Amino acid sequence: MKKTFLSIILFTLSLSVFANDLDKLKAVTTTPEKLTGIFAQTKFLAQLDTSIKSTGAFNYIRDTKIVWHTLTPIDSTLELTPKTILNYQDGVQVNKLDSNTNSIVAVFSDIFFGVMTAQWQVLEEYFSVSAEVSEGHWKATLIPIDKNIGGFISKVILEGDKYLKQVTLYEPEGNLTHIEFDQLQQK
Amino acid sequence: MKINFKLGALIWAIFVIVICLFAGTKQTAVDTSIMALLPKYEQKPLVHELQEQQTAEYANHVFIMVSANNKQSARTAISTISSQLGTLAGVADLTTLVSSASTQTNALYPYRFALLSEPVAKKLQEKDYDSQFRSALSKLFSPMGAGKADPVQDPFFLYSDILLGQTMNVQVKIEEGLLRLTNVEKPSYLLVLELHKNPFDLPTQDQVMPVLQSIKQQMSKQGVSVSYSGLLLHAAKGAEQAKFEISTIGLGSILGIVIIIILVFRRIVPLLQILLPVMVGCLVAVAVTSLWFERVHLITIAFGAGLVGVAVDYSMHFVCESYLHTGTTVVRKLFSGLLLGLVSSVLAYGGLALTPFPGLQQIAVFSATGLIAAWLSVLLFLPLITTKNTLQNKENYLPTALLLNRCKETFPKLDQLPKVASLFIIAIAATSLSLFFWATPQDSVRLLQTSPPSLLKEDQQVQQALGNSVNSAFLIVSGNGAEAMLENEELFRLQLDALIQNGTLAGYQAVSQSIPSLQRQRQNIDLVKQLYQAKLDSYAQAIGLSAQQKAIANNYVQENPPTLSPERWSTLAISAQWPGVFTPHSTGEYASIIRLKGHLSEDSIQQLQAAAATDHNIDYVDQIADISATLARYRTKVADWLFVAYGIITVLLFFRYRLNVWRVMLPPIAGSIIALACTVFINGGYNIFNLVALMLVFGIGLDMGIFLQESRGSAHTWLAVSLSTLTSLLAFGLLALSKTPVLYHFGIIVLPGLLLIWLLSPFMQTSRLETQ
Repeated sequence: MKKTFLSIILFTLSLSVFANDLDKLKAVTTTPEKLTGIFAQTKFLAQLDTSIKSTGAFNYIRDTKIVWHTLTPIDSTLELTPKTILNYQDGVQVNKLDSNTNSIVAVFSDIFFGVMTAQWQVLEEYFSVSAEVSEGHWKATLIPIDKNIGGFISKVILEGDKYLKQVTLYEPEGNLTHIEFDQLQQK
Repeated sequence: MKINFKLGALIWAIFVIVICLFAGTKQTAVDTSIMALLPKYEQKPLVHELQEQQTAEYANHVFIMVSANNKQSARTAISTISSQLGTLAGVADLTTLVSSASTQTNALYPYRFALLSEPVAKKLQEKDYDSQFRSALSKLFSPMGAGKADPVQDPFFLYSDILLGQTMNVQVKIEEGLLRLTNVEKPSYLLVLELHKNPFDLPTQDQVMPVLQSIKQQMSKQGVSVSYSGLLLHAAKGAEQAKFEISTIGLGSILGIVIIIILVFRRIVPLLQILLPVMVGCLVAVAVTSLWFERVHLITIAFGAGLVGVAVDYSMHFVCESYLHTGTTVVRKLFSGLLLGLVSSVLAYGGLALTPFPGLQQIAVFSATGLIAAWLSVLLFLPLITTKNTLQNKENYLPTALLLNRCKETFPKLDQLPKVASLFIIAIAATSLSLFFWATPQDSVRLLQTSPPSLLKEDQQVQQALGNSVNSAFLIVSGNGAEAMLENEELFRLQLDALIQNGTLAGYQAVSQSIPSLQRQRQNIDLVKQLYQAKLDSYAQAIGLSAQQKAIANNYVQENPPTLSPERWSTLAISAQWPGVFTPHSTGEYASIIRLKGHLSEDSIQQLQAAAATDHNIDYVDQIADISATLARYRTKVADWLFVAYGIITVLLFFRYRLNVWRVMLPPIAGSIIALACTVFINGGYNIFNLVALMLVFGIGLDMGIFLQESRGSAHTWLAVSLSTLTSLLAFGLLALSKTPVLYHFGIIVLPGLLLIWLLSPFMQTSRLETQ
């Protein structure tokens, strides 16, 4: 009886902390209607024990489209809408995926949108979010709730001030992708 | 003589009680399924088996769609609903489709070289290695990807392409352990309830339906909409409708009889005398039918309610005559008429048993046994219980009988008016000719649909949200073995792909997309080997693989990469989409189903049929079209039988009535033709159920004519005929109001048909009473 009571208290406590974290995050961060910027990405490949680096530019229109343009070392563009994922190379479309026919595409596109535009409501659907907020700087740690997503991503750390500045994606096999954003402009 | 009656009555009473007790111990469900009405027609056994399997798959599940304005309330609703459905444990369980996607993610990884996604395989066949190389690099640099990035085990991201190329049957994604529908605007989730017994099982209906209904009501108060799809809903609705319509039609009929008889006889006893044989007839009919068949169809019961109308004829005649004569005299006087009436009716209905239409067979059994039982009860019970009628009313005609008879006497007789008679016959002949040439038969499957439109709409909404195609057509691919079946499917898919290319077909789902044939898997591995040969060096250079890493990567492909066997595949969750596909059928063959997506136009159906016709391993199946075709076939069968029955009975009656046979036959013929013409006028066509109703019209009309002819115009016979017509009209008048299309089409014929026969009969009577 005591135990149950205690766990209920703990549970409600954790819930309130949980809610507070998110509320704070929502208060600090902004997701502008449109944003452009450049990125530098380092991908650590556990199998090879090396990192591969790439840079490029990105822009997004909230809830509509994200264009992720890798410029070095190869020219490749990933264009996401909530329903489709398109892949261009040297301006030629090489791949098109539709979330209507493939559940993985739907989840993939949701998470990508959520992470890149720090949309907490969307991310809450897939992750448990914990956050530290201090003096306009924040850091959020995302742990997937669902086993299926856990198969692709084991943890995501987002950091930023007004905007999202850094993303680190941890994959279960030890691969790690670190992205830093710069020259962010609302347009 | 008297002892014989008593003994006979005793034996008959014991028989009735025993058979009813027997039937009472057997629980028989009421069936409303369209499929149950369909004959076991000439199909390939394999095709039939697969169709049954498909139907069963839909039958035992209830799909529950929960939608709300926001995600949180939808999810809260889901947990409330789940816990309420939890109370049904043992009757129905919630299934979790969620686990299916999870285990498959990495289970297929070892087979990445053998499975290959379709676009990749196509690229490699066209030796477009460069594009795969570029796509792999782009995936490597992409911030996120499906499947692990591993430049040694899978440098060209073949596994990721397999995952992304996989299509699901339903449009759902997994969200925190729940299935969320992706094709719907509002946040919507899917729950699937699996029934342990078939949906026609009444206890299952009684337990599951109240829970489903209360969930729906409770949720709608909270602004959450809950929609269901599943045969259970239709079965339960059908059973409910059957109960309601039987009680209204049956009650209406009985109430009508009670009121009329009390008005005519001004006593209660004759009422009981008339109803006893009718009740025995119905009891025996229900008992025998439920013993004979596994499930009694709604339509049989509805028809059975109408049987009251025929059975009441016998007792009505007996009771009316019993006011003039004693029981044994009545038996002697009426026996030949009653026997002729019975034989002709049983012949007419019994003929339906010759059709391979299960619904019609049930009607035949029900009617024949019901009529025989009612007839026996009239002959065996009534002489014993009507003895007091005569003593009190000797030589007294009932006042109603005299009144009715006076009315009848004012009718002119057709044999006195040769001109009118010829005109009448010409008019009837012209009507029947125009019916023959211009009436359009209607064989739409909607005739069999007993569910109300609102329920059908709800069902369709859920199915559409799930992304299930609305078309009932599919293709069956067969083969002598599992490998042969997969190879046949792959070969035929080339034709389907061509149809997709030219825009005829929206898409399809086939099992060989999930597990290619061994032959295809080996070809894929060879393609990958060529890719490695062409591009592994450039790849290694581009991302800086060491010589050793490159060698390891190459080894994965060169050293017999595994192929996916049907046995292994069957243990994976993805196989849930294709249950039992690797189980041989009773013919020893293996068979799979190709599901077709999108709407099929007439043109695409023709092209698909043409494509299927070129390959004996392929069958194009369209259940809805088959049902309509079957209805059409049996419409012509019933029409033929009507002609044959009229013919046989005319010949039969000719031996008794000689040239006067027209007096008996013309009223039902004319009544039927005019009733059919009315129906064609109202509904723009006619269907099989109109024709089945014509059989009933024939049966009752024939009885009428025979009794009138046998009694040579007795006042009490005319009273009995009028009373039984009136009671039948009451019963069938309500049928014409039925919401069930089948019953409506039945009533719409019987109502005018019987009325016309009753009105026409007096015209046909002989003007010379002394004539035999």
